[in-house]
Amino acid sequence: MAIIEIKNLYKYFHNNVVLNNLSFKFEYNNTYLLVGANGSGKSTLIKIILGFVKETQGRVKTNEKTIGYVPEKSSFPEMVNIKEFLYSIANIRNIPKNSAKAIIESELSEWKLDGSKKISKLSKGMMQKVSIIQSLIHSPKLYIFDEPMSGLDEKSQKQFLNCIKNLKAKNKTIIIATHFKDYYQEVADKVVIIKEGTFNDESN
Amino acid sequence: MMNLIKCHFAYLLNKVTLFILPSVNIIMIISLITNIGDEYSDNFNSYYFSSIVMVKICFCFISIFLFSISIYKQNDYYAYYILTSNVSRIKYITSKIILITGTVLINFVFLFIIFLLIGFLLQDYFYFQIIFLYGFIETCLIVFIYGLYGMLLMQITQNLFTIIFPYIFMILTSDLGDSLIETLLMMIFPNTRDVDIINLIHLIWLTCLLIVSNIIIFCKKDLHY
Repeated sequence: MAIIEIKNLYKYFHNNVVLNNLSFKFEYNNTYLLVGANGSGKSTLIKIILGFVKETQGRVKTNEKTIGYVPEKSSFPEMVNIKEFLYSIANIRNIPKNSAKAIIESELSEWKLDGSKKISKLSKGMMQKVSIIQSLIHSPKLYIFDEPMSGLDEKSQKQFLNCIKNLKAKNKTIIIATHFKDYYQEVADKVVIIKEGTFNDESN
Repeated sequence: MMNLIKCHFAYLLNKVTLFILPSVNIIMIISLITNIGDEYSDNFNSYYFSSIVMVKICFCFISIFLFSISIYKQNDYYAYYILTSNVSRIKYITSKIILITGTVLINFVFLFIIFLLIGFLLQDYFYFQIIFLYGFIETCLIVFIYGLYGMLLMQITQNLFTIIFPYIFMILTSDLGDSLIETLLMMIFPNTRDVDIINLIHLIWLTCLLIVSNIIIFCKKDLHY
């Protein structure tokens, strides 16, 4: 069964064709790499899947409402610390306090982050880690990561790959949008190449 | 809903708003004190009217600023975290509007109390008149209306420059006459005038219309930040 079904999808922005007749099925329990250059339509496709952007034509059906999403950029409130931010996200996702506490504490120690640190004082890489943690705390079935390694150092990149492996072991569906497929070769089940708004034949 | 409002509040509370809100309040309090007249009669209308004008000018600025900035792409980027948490767009934007309305309203009530306190302490023969309350309610609704216009424009254009337009309209319509065109213009861009129930109903109706318009636009638009 497909977790995401895309059928004859078109997206135009001011007469520019961004996505051109895309059809594809993302199956459950697979890890997909969505590979493409800048402006190839990766982020637009992700935003359509997530319901942030409306399709011009065609149909996208996402069978999961709760999704772990790491956007390209991060945005956090200035005046709170990491823990306060993560707890507020956990509250919105209706995670019981005790489980939220356990997950947040374990992820913070896993990613070696000091939860009491003010978000305004974090580096780009640390912010990316917080962004990754927020996507993990509600254990959804579907994860979508848009350039997740951006800003991460080598050690954290390895840690992220381990995190993907753990999610795979839990039979989660993962979509990673990236320019660099080589980074993820050990974790990817399928590679989908997007070029000028269409899926490339090299996809496998 | 409360959790969402708390989350919006955390994002709203940044260095810029923490500077602007107290600064405008201090300016307001100073101007209220300087508005005190030296009449030795119960004619303290000049204090009331000049206070209302100052409140309108300052609070329109706060309201337009808060409503518009809250929906500006850089400040609204966190919608990506929230909307993937099984929270609907309607719930997201409604909670945001509730928070900003509440923030402006609390500030308004605070300033109304300050207005009365300064009046009682510094203005001779000052006493409470119901017209003060009506005047502040009318001004409060006008402040919301221009704030919501700001939000609407920001949603459509995503350009910080557009903040200036509702403010300009508020200033321009403060001196309109009674001709048909001017009356029609006042219906869309209202301003303080004689307080009566029909005027208040019109302001409430326009506020509701703008809230609904903002919600509809947010639900329909592409969140391509």
